[in-house]
Amino acid sequence: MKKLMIIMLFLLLINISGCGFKDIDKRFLVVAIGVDKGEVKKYNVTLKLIIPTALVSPGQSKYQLIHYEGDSISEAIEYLRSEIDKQLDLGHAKITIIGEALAQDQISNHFDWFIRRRGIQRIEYVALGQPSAKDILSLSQQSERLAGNSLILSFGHEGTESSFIVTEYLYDFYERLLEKGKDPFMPVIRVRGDTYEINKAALFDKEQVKLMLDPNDTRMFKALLMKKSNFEVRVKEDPLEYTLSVQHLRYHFKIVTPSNGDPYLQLDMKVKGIAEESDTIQFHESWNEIERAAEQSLERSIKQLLEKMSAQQLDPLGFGLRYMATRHDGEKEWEDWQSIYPKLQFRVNVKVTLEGTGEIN
Amino acid sequence: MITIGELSRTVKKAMDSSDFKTARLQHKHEELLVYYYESLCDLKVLRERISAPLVKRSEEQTFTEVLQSELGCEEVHDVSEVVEKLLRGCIVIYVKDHVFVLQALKVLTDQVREATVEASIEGPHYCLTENLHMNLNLIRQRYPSKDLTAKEKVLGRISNTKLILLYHEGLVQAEVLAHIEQQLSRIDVDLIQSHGQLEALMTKKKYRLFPLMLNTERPDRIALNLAQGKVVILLDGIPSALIAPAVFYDFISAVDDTTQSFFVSHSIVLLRYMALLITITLPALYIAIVSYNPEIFRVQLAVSIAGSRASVPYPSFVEVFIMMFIIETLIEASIRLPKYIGQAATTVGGLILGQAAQQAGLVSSIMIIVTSMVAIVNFVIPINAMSYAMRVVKYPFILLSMFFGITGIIVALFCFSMYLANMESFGQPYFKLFVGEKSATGYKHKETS
Amino acid sequence: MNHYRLGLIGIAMLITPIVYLPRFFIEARFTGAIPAIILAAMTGSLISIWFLHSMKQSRGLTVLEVIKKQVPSYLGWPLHVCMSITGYVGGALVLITMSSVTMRFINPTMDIHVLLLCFLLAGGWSALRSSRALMFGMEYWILLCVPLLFFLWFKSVSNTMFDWDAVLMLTDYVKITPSWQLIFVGSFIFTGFISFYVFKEAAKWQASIHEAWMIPLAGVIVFCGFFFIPFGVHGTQAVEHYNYIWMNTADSIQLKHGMIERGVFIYLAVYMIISLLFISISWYSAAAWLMNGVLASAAYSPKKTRRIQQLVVVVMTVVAFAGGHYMNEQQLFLFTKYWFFARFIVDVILVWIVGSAVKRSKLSL
Repeated sequence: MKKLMIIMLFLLLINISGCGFKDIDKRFLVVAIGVDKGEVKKYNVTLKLIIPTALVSPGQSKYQLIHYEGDSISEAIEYLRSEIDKQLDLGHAKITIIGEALAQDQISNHFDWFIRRRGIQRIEYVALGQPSAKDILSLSQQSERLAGNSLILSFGHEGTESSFIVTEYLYDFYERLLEKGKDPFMPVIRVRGDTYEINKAALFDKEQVKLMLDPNDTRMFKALLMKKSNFEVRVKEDPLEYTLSVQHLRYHFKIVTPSNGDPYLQLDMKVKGIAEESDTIQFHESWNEIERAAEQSLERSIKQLLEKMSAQQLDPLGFGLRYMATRHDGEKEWEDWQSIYPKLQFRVNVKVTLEGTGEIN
Repeated sequence: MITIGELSRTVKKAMDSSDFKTARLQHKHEELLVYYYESLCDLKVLRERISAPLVKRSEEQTFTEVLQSELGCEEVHDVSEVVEKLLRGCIVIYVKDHVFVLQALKVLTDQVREATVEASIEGPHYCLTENLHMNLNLIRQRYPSKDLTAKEKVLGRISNTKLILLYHEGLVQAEVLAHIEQQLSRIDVDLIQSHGQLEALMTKKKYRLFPLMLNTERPDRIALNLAQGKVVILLDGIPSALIAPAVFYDFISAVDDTTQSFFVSHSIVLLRYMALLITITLPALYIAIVSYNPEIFRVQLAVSIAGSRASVPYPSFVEVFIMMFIIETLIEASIRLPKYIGQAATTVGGLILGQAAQQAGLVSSIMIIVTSMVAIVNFVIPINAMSYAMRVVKYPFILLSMFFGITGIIVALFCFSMYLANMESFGQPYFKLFVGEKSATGYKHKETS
Repeated sequence: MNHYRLGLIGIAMLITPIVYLPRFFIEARFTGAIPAIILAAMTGSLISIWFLHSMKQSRGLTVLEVIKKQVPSYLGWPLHVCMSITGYVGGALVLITMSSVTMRFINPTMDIHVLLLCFLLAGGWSALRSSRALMFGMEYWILLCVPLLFFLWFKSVSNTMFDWDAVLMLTDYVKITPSWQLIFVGSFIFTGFISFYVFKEAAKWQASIHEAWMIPLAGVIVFCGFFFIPFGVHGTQAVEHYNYIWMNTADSIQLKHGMIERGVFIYLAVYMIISLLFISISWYSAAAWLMNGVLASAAYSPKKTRRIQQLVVVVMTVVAFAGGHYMNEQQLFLFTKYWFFARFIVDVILVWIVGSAVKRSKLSL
């Protein structure tokens, strides 16, 4: 009796299961998704599929690019399924690139599919492609072992740790799209020759791209956003001219709303660094002046960046959220902040400590 | 008083055997009849202890008195005992209506040899022999305690195998001992020849996968377990002992563990648990990852797996079954084969077959790694019985991962742990966290799953 | 301190993200979630401490034995049935939720019935193990799972993307009168173990009640982890858009140097185990409640009792399968809410009856 039951159960299992069974070689691993504005329809979805090879070696990466236009992303992907012979596996998509044209309006609608759809990683990277996502995906770098690997390595900070590359994850982008007092941003990828150039950041309000930061501002922005050190500052204060390599960076800010006078944002930053490239500084000179020079130039560039952002009412660093977190007025805070931000003044105070003058004095 | 007639009637059956000898020894007025199995007895004993005294004997003594003073010689009053004594290697002497038996068994199996199954690097090297008394000797040397109690029993209608129950009086739990004795008394078979058989006869459950008693050949391990209050069962003719009750941890620990420092021995135990986990889940994980959830690992690894599998024409579980079949047969073959052929078999099977199968596109190279990993890692488990059991356990895991993917593996792991936790060895829990329990070596043993 | 009892208390706390508890509170984040949990911690801990205190008087008896001894049977058997039903429904809800979560995140193309069956077989089979086995299993699985869970918490909090400002935003909404419903829901963290108090291993008393301060402390820590971390990760607005908030929070954890890159798989593995533990423990105790109160009597042979237990568990699995077949996610969510209310009321009645019965019997002695 018991044996019979076990056999019955086993047969039942064999019959009902196995629907999810699909071998890895019957799947196409999608490594990157690109979404552009379609010419006829709303979207043009491009998928970069990896073609696995038995031997993996640099420069030998094989991939297949497929694209289709549709009025929704899911529709385009549905069509794409019919074009290929294996199952599309979106679970490995590590990066989503949005074409620049698409980022001009209603960005939150485009992202609905990515969040709603099961199987898309929340930790996938998002980026803006210039001029279009498809151009970015068509490029395969020489050193790549694996299609799309160089982008994954760049954004994951596993390979290069460039100070120009800001990283944005899907979950964080979605958070910023909805959050009051914190605005979304994206790194911008461009193609230069046969490599990628990632040194800009695009700032969004809740709907579209408002501001494109140039590389220098991007570097400062990244330092403020991720509190990451390891970047260089060109200090140019007469008579000194040198490059400061930042080893250690800490900052905090608060928003002060005095009852009389304008509200201001007080940002205090502490920087430790070493001089990297200079022909003007001397080991035996007073370091105070050298530090002063660096402080001034850092203060200037930070203030420049903050004012650029506030002029456009953009708040990717979450000043508004901080304002609301430190006040206790409930719903009213948001309205207050919206009136405060345009006239907010920035007071930046940087304290630089020079730890050395490099290997030579 | 036993008459010569009675005696010869009793041994008449044995007379047919060619190795059964009868001798008549005569000196002066004394006359004795000697019966023995030539194959069992040491003739030196007969010569030194019967023939010589018979000749040298002084006039005043009768030979009966000589025999009575002889060590290992006793008088038998019941004629029916004679045949059994003969079969146990005794010489039966008939002197003037008295029957004496003299222990003259030629023992060839009491040579102490080095441990082969449970070899150790730093611990003692010698292990139990196939002789019961020699074994008792070895154990008593290691465990010189007056509380060490030995109880002899005889099992098997034909084999009449001697069995010794050893335990430390006072440390052993009374109910465990009673349970074991009760189980032993219920055994009713013709022939008993191995510990596995005894273990099966002593446990009620028919469908059983894991060993409930520990089979060891090392006297030091036996001593350790005696000090932990366990019961040791020795069978005559078997160079190892059974220890009950056993817990799962016993099968994961080696005797060497106590020779190392704290961190070394504990990391080795941890390593074994990890090995255990790998050996039962790895083939199942391969199926789950290849066929259900490639996204668990990072994309770079997934692509390598996909690449290596590109030429394999059938689903992953077939691949796993093929390779598992090859490796299991290889292990079985190399155990049974003579040493010299065994090496050739492993080379052919392991190296050439694996390499060729991968090149022919029958299996992926990742699968080759998985297979050899599973086999190697299985050998880490110190006790053979457990490593056999673990070889079987991986198949339910493979089945469940075939049906449910990674979910199936986790569910199987959970059920497996529950199955172990539900097991009992002679009323004692088998698998749990042993925290704060008495440790005979001063080592704190901890168990994780 | 009895670690089996601690394990039972712990398992009832750890299961909360599966029974949507963080989601109830996140939805009410601007309408009194924080005061609700403070009140729930107070009432819940008081109830459990009262319960543990009255159990302590009975010197190591399980709640079943206490009721049999000291509660009149006209009160006893409805109590048994109610406890059994609430205990069982808890396990079944966890099972259904877990299968749908697994279907979404691990086996998207699989039929939900297959997964239901898989969990049902495992849960039902484990519920039929001995009480000792369940306790041992619970002990080592909790010891393995809790560090992993803390690791994931640590990983998400230590991420530079974690936004403390979003967490601090909630301080504005402390002085709001919470709804009663939320307090009922929240008190599950602190009183969830009461219906599991049928394991004789867990009922043993060794020394003073350490649980008295452990329950509120551990409960609040567990709640804070499950409630506040999603805010730091998803912000104050996006957080309410997710159905299974903790699955998505775990999916937002990247283990850069890990063999497994996505935190969600570790989280899912941990939660499959915790759910299976919860299911088997709650079904075991539900069967024990039902059998002690209604179905079995001491006169039955062990074999017959065992048969009844098997029958009860089989009926339970069949009902759970039907539930999983007919309920959609929205119904499940609502049903969970009602279950929270029901079990709160039943637990309070049980604690009150047992507490007063123990007190009375002590007076009469």
